[in-house]
Amino acid sequence: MSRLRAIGALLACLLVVAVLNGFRGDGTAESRDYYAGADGWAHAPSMSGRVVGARLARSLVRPEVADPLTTPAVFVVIELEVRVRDRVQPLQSLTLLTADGHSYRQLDDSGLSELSLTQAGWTSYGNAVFEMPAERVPGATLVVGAQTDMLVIYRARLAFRDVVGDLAVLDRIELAEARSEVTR
Amino acid sequence: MASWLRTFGAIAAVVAVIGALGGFNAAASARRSAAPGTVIDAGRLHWTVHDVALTDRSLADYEIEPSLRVRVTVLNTADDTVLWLDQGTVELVLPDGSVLDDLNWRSATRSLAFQPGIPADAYTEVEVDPARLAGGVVVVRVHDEIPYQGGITTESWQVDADATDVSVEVRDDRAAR
Repeated sequence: MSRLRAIGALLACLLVVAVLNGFRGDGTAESRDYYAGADGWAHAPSMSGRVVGARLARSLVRPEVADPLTTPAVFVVIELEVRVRDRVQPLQSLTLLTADGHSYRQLDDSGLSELSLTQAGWTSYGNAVFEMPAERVPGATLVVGAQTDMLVIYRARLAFRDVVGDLAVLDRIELAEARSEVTR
Repeated sequence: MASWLRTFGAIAAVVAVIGALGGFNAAASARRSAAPGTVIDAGRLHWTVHDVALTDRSLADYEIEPSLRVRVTVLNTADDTVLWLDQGTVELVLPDGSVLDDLNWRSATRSLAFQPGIPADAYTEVEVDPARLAGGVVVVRVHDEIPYQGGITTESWQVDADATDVSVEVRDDRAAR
């Protein structure tokens, strides 16, 4: 009987490992991307969003920060509007996926006026700023949603294809301040 | 013979065979050398060690305890942004043989992130007793990183035993005493 219990315990442990590996995140398989339509809006179950504007620059002037931010590459600045419906959204995990398979996380330097944690019933306006080689900008897709580095059960992401288009690189731009308001 | 004795004997025999074949010996690690200023291919990150200085002033020019400051440039050749490094990715080996491996890398001007394809200047500062620097040469040991996929997380990278040593003469930047 004790041998049967030992075998049963071993099988139970193996079953737990198998179940946990079944939930292992791989970065894309467990996510659902909701792409923007012709009107520019992307709609996921808990939130909707649109790209208000996009610019490229080599230096950024940040609100209330004395020194400009500079780069040997290019800054991609995307202004977003995100409306949250029924579940608070952190809105702090934004990624730019390039056509050649690279993935860039948004910068977290001070003063970039990025989107903030947004409660249900609120709309946030803010910037997503990325830094990347200029040649990787064309055809990049912006993804707004939960980052998948750990155990993943489910997530939904807003996605915007070719978010920058064909833009000239400016020497310097000023960033608009982020803000939130009750959704009208 | 009692069944437990047979089981024990079988396990002991297996262990003995493994030991005889060298299975319990620590794997030999590769140790390369490079000069300061040389680009080191450590896997997803390429490191260039510029210099090591003993200083008592921070980069913002306020007084600090005597510290070693190591300046590097890092190029991320992987597909994804790298936001942090595991402890032990880079070690400092002092002249007395002691190893400092809990290094916090920062940028002098902004929030540090290693973006794919963009060289990033970074530095680390670690307090040290100047008396331990007799001989004046510190080894900056840059370990390789190898891909790791396992457990319940997505693919990541782990620090390997193989490494490149950069021997750097420590420059004394302390204020004149």
